[in-house]
Amino acid sequence: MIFRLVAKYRRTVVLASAVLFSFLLLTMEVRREETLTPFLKRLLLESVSPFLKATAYLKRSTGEIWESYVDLRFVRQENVRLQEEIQALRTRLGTVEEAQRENQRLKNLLGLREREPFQVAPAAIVGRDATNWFHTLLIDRGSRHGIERNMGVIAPAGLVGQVVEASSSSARVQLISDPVSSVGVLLQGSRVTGLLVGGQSGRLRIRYLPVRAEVRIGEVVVTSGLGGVYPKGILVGKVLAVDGRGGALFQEATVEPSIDFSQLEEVLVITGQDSRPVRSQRREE
Amino acid sequence: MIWLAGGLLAVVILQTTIAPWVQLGQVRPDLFLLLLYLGSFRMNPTQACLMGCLLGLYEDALSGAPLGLNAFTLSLLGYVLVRVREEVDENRLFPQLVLLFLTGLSAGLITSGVLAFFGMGRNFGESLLWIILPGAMYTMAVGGLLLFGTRLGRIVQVRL
Repeated sequence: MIFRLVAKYRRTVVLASAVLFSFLLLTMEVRREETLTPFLKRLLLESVSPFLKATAYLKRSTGEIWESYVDLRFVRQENVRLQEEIQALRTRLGTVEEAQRENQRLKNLLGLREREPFQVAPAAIVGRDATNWFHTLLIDRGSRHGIERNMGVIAPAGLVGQVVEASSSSARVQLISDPVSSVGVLLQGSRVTGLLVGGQSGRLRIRYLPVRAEVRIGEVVVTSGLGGVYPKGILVGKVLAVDGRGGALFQEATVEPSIDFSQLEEVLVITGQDSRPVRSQRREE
Repeated sequence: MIWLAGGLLAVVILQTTIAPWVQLGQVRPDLFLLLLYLGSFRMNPTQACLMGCLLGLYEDALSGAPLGLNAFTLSLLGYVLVRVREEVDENRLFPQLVLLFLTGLSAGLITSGVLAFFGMGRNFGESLLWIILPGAMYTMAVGGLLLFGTRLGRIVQVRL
């Protein structure tokens, strides 16, 4: 009887089963039940991961060949420009060295210990988010390489985001521009903290800035270190516009990120002591 | 089955590595949806529903979306698409484009609704303006080019 009914309404049964299955998965995922969904997600990801890595490798190799050709064409002009730049930098170096010595002296006077850099693991980007709703990246390093959830991710130019999922050979990084991302930030000039959030349009905004704070356009934004995911002092971007609505308790600011996320090819995952303070705009080797 | 596996692999690679190159603002074409649309030409509603579910699961695994979000949307759309497509003249490009746009629009609205239901809702106006409408239009444009190219290929083949 049941089989006959199922056969009769096969289409409806299949549709209902597929929809119900998806809905169940969604419910489990939202309730963070660590049973079926992480396993299924990992399985699906691992089944296409080798193809994604191969494509990313091919893309990189082709890009390098093209860049080498372009570099050769413009090498003379580049040389002249670099010579001029070296001269200018030599002049500035003297001033910087003097400032560094002065800084060291003052630090010694204050008894501050030398701030240690954190440990990082390099990773290549093998894929970007498949939908328009989320802003994430897929990297070629996973739990096998010591990558875990909630590890901060940076690039030489600044903050990228954090690891939200890690399978054995790959991990997903949520960008700071993702609509559900939030990062505690500090405005370097005015020394006020706020919450940096992403948006559907890809714009970064700082919320909960004290209404009396004098936020200046062009001010450098760094991580505040609050929240425990990101170390303090990582460059995030600079203030583009300040939106202080009359009568509001807080003001907001639009931030231009220091990184062009669409151009990223490699990132550094912070695997070590992530609570130590670091120097802003620090270049990783 | 072979074309489905090949199509799925091609879409996975194109969507995650090539589509970001042709991204306009924050929007890129939804190739998973496009594969479902093209696949629905040669499927019955049951097959299209199952294909939608599989494509959606892969799309979820390859994005920051919770698993099941796109599987839900695409299995529902796969089923409806085959039913609606029976009413649309396959030899005329314009109705196909309209159907493709409506499919993209429906996918966006369903996704937005499901996200809101599970407490992950976004600002609807912002989503409609930045994601749903441009995404549907971009998918329609890429689909239109594909359909036009296929038709052109057929004409050339007949002439030769």
